[in-house]
Amino acid sequence: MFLLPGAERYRRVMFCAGVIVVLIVQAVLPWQPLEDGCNRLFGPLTRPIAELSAAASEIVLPTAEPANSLQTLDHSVLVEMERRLGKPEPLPGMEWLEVPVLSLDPEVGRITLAAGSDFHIASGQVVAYGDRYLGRVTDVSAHQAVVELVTAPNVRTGVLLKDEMGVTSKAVSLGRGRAGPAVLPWLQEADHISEGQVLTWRSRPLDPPNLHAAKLRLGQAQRDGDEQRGTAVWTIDGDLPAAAEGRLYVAASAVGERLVAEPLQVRTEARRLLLDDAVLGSGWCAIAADTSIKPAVYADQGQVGGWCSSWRGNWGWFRIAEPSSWQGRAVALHAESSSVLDCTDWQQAEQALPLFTRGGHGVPRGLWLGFRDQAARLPSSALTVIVQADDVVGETQ
Amino acid sequence: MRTPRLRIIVPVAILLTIFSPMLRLLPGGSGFPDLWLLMLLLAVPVPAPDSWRRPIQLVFLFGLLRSSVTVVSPFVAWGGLGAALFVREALSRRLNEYRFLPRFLTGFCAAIPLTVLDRLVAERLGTPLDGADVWMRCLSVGLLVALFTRPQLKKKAFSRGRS
Repeated sequence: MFLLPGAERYRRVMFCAGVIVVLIVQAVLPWQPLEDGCNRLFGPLTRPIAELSAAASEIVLPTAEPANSLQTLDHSVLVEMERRLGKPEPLPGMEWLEVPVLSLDPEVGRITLAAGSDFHIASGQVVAYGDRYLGRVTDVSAHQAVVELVTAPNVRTGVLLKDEMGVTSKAVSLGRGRAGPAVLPWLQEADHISEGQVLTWRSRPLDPPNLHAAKLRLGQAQRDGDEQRGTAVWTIDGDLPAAAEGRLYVAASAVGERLVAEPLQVRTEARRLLLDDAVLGSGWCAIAADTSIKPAVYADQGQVGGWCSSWRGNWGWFRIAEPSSWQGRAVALHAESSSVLDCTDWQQAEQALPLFTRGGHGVPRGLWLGFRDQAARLPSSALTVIVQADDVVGETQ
Repeated sequence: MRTPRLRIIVPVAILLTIFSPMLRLLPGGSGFPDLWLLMLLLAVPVPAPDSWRRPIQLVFLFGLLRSSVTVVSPFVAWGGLGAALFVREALSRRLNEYRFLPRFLTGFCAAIPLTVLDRLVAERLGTPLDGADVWMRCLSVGLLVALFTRPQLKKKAFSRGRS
């Protein structure tokens, strides 16, 4: 046997150790572009093995098709509720454009709408939900628009105070972003404000005159801080309603043909491959679909069963999840109180409420998940994979 | 030690890969050893040959086969399998391979990197592996490696004696 010189062997050992360390670092702290590139490259190569394994599983351990769900709610139930709760009162000479939310960052006070100049949205337009004033459109691109909420840093909003005697006075609120709710640093009449007083939005001189008649609310006055230390300030108590995470209404005095913008959903027929993972066990399924973009969720008979964890070109792995495990990514519909509840509220509710996807990160809003206490739904052999595109399609109301 | 040829290893590996999801579903299957790690440790001799071409080929192939039946990234498989060979090589040079216990220890330690990586990924994906299963996977790899691998010199000595 030919033995390598010590130095050459040492060099090889060091090189291999370096490669292994890099691979382990990539495994522990995955760099997504590299992961995606590898999946795109090797995914089509590994699919035949997954197909063979699926075929063998079907022969050895045939899987019964899951029974049809008795209770299925259409996603339009949530949409209808959001519209009923959110559409402001009609104003003469104005229209409320219904725009879905693409993503939101409530801590920073910023919401991205899934429509932009393609839907005739312009900078400076007022955004509301129900009788609540939320903010203004600040940045508009072709398919998206950014709304800065009242709570966004350094955003100044006019406030109208009306005391019990009906006397009105003015104030200005200042957003603080992550630091907390908006404060009222300037009050025209300091003694006109009291704890719990309803604060109304005050229009700017260049706003359409009819907008003033909407009487949009900002929230309630709240005293924060320590009076004795001199740090007490008036703040606005007004959380973003859970239903407002779905769609918002933009005031417009000139509109195009469409009044409702719906986000484009790409739905593709798919096929179940494997129902179990060879390393992690149950709770995973492999699904094949001829789609070029990574799907976000799979739906079986109208019910979303899980989300995509890894997409490998033309197939991928999905987590089979029970409705309750969606947690913050789900909202519940409470029909009795006609409200949409977020995660903390629907988890505390006594009855098992119907859950829908909250939306964001490619997952369309309002897809039916099931009731809170339902078990995970196993995917049948033929299903649908869904992703939300950034573009919107219009709908004339 | 004579190792199996690639034309035997590859079909066997593909066959085992095809049936691996079913094995994991058997009672106690979550504690079964990682098949690709086991095949790698049995297919690559100790001490490693001067040419590392074949071990690298096998690590790449087994990692790819593994990733075809699991959500776990191929990088986890490549990193874990490569580290397993590295650990085994380092330990086998220091431990007496003629005894069962050191061979078991070598196999056990070689299984740790891949199993730990699997556990980390499983936690990240929201389906954590049970601690007992992690131990069982390492122990079973150690046991099978100890049973099915024999020291190279010992075998050669026997064959010389008989001939």
